[in-house]
Amino acid sequence: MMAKCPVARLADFKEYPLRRVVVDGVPICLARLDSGEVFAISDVCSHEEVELSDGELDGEDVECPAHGSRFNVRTGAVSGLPASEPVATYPVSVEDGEVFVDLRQAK
Amino acid sequence: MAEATGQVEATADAVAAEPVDGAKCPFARVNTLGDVSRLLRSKTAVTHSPDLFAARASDEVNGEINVREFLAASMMYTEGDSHRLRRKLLNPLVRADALEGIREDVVLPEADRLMALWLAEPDADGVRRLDLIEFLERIFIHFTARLIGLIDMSSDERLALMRSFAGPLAAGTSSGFLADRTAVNERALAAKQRYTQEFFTPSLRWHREMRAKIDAGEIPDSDVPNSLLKLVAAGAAPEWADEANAIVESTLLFAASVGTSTQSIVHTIDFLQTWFAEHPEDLERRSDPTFLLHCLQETIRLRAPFSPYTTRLSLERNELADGTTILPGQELHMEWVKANRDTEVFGQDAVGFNPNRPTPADGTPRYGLGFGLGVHQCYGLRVVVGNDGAGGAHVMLLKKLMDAGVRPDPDNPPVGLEKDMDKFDVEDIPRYIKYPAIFDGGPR
Repeated sequence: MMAKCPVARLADFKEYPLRRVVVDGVPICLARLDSGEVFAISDVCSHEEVELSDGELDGEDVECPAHGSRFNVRTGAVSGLPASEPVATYPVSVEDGEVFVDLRQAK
Repeated sequence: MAEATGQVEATADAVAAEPVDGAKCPFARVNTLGDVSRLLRSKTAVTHSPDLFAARASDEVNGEINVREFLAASMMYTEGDSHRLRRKLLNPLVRADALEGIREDVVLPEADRLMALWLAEPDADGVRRLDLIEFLERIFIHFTARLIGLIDMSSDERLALMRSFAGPLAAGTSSGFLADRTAVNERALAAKQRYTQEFFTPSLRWHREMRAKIDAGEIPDSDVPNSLLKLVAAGAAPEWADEANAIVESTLLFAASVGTSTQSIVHTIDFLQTWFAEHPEDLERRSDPTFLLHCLQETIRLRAPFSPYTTRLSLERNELADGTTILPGQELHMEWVKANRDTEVFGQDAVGFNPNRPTPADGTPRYGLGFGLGVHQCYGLRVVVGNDGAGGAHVMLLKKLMDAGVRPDPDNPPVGLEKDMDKFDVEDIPRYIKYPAIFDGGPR
């Protein structure tokens, strides 16, 4: 599994706060909050295997486009039904406008 | 399909021995939690065919009307990008903050108003009565009107007119399960025409005027609450550019939200009447929101979606747990109500109503498959159980009714729609159109 890996630039979030990347075959949803912070969670909704990055960012929650399940991007915890299982989170770091994700430290 | 018939490995329960609805091959009954879940969750195994739900093969004339006028243009019967976009657009309408606003500002105050008005004076025999169907439909019409974005909904006359469409439109969307479909469809078409003329068209006109003002910078977007018609006026989905499609989208939302919401509460009160008689120790919990939520979830597990099955079209060869082969092109009857009686998941008494049932250990929700699963899982799930699972307006309405001492009127039995009982193999699931109730506690 790859170590800390560059996945996007902050400028990539200008149009939309959610972005899908795939690292080592793992789909990841990057979310940039209004505060400027960037978080990374699994891009697979734990409810029905839908891409969360196709959904919407509402505050600190990503809302699944299919059924509206919500996940907190900081913790991966479910914040709205119908999902009942959390999604994985990955540490994110930003250096010189570049966003890095470390899959080895997934929670 | 004809070629496939001979290949079906019929077993006692999973495949019907006789063709149904004139189809050339028999339908397959899918009625275990595992099979229903697996097929509905597959992205390629099944599709939601309006022709099947409308039982078009057995009645082409009425089936075609149902498909054309009430089903096919809805997101419920489309797949892929068309479905995904519309669902994504409509999801924010049932977010927690939106639902709380509708519940606190509209639904609960209207319930208080109607109860105070209709229960103010007892009848000549000293008993306070109201028809629960009329009461609940009147309340949920407010919710639906917000969801659709209908305007001019403040007068009792307008609400009563809108309410008069609820039954016929719901029947028009599901006439495949009903008797005398020709008469059902005549009433449904008349209701749709009047609904369009009196409510939909003027409301869409208003939204288009507002859209023009928003686009011109004369008013902020936030001045117009989010709704289906706001999205239609904004051209948010290409399918809604055809006004006929937008009408169908709205009538299906109308039928689903008013009809199933009303039935779920009335059926819960119906179940509770028997439950309290057999378990008087639970009477003191009659206003406990958690107890009432569990009651509502039991009702949904046992009765939703208030039809004996829903249909799917098989797209791939598949195999059920008992070895039955499912063939591409085969009609599937997804029997939620039977699957939801799985004793391994819900316990040995799974066939009955038990609000004290433990939550299933395997993570299955208390309501089982009552909201369906997969791509077309019910849009109203969060409306009923709440975004946090603690219950929404439905539980609060149940509490209000319980607080007021609601119980079925022993002298006036409920009235249900006349159904095609050939379709109700699992059990009779009444679709009430009148449910007289008496109130021992008086208005609150």
